[in-house]
Amino acid sequence: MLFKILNLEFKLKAKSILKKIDFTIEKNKHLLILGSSGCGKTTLINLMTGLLKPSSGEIFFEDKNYSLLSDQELDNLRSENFGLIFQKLHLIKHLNIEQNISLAKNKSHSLNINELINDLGLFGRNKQIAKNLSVGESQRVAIARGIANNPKVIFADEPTSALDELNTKKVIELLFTQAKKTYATLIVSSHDYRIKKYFSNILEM
Amino acid sequence: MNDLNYVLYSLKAKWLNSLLSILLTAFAVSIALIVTQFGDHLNKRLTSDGKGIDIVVGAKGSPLQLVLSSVYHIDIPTGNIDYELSQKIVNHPQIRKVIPLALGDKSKGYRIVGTTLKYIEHYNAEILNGSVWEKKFEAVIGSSVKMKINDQFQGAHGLLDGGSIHSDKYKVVGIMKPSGTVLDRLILTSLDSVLEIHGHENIKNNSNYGHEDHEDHEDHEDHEDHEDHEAHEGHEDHEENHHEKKIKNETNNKYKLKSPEITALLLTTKSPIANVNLPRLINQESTLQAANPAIEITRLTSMLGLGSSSFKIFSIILIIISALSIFSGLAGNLENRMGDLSVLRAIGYSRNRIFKIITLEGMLITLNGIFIGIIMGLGGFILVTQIITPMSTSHASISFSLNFFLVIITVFFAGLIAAIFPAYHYSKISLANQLSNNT
Repeated sequence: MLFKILNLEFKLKAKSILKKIDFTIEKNKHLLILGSSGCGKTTLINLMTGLLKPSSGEIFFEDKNYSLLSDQELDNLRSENFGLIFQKLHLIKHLNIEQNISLAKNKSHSLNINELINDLGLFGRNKQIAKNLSVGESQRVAIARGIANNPKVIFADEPTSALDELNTKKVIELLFTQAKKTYATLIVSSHDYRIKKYFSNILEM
Repeated sequence: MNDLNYVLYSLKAKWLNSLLSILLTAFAVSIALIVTQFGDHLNKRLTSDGKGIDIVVGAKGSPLQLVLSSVYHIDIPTGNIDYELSQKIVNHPQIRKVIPLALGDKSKGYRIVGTTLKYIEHYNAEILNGSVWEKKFEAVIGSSVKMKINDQFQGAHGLLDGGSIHSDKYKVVGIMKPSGTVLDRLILTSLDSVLEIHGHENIKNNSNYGHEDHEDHEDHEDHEDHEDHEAHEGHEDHEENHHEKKIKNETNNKYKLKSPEITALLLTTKSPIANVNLPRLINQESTLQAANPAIEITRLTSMLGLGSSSFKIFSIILIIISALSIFSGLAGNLENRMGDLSVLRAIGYSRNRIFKIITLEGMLITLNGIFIGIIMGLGGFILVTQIITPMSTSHASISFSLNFFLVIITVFFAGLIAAIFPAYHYSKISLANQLSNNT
């Protein structure tokens, strides 16, 4: 079992964002977290990646209980096992494509950056500064950074929120292709019902 | 991408902020260094010029004036003392060394000092060209005096500008090596030369002062009719009197020589106790005054705020400004990069690593500022020493003293502290909140 979530709750200033959530994720069983805006999808991903601490409940990753890990251990767990693709992409604007991707590359079995750039259709663009990229290019760089560390789990938060049908299909296929290549489990949060068809495991919120 | 590269790219991306922080640090370092270099130079000069001189004996008046005029040659003397009277002091058993000085004239802005060879020996000065004086009116010049061997010059009466010119000519027979002491800017000659030019008898027996003037005694009569028989005085007040006497002398060539007088005695004692007891004893004598250079200079520096503490306070203020500028520059830079740092945290950078990255950024600014500041400070000091004549003639040079390293170390730690505060603050940021705020 990859993830086990038990009685997970998250409150912000006494307001309940997540209530009593329970689910499990098996390795290589990709999951879509589907729900309308503001339902707590991003909060759930932040909790699963250890960026937030739950108000109550337990999160287990490969039988490691988050509540028993120190901040340092949680940081290590995140950098060793997870790849994050943010809704707002969060590329570092003054760095070039190669540098943005290499920020996440800290394991000996990390993917080759040049191969990754080529696979994502950014051949020869290694030195292009992030702030000069189009939205589509930025999204591909964000995906490359998310998988560069050869993670066990790829988290993608609203990866298709601003895309048309064609580009939505391209991005989802790209995510599945890269997940397959790296034997990673894909966890996608979205309010976009168009992508429901690509997933067999869906957590509706 | 390693952390150093990341920091360098970040500094480059905010190059204007980074440059301003570096320049502010550099300016603070350079000014602090210039101030400490001046302080060190002043202290060095006060120490080296006054080294080994325990007591100065001269005419009654201001003790500080006596010390400044006789040891540092930067003031006019308090007057002259009778040579015979001075002999009572030189024979005191507690005195190790006596250097007599006869002042009163200058040439081309440099003071002419009648003395003995002990004066040169006292400062361990060496002759670079030529030799020491053997006859009257032969002179040895300091390294900063703009004259050459065999040059002839006349002394002008008084130590300020505009004195009447004596007709007797001195001849340069030796040039001293730079000694970094007051000798560098003096013209030295025998006691009798100065006495004679001012119409005083030569010293009949100056064995207590040295031996180099003995051979001149026989020449004494040759100069008896010298037209400039003015008594040598340090005071400009005597200038007019001198002039009147000179006119009188021109009408009456036979002018009676006065008994010998000297301006001051520089004494080295045999024990520190003598430094306290001897001045008391000498000051009882109605026409003599003894001053302790160490006490007078301490009094002067404390009065003018020239002591090392004022330099330190000024330097500390500059360093605090520098630390605040690093803090402000770094905090401003980081405020704009909160989003980037939270992304790094999210992709797995630990709090410690973020802390190190921010501290490294602050230290790079500080080290660059220090490096540029050292170049600017030392370069500025060298430039100032070339421009300001008293600094160049006193051979002001860069000193890598304790103060120099204290400035560097203090700025380094001030920069470190200035970097640690924002580093600690930003390593504690709430990741999820920050990421949701990022555009």
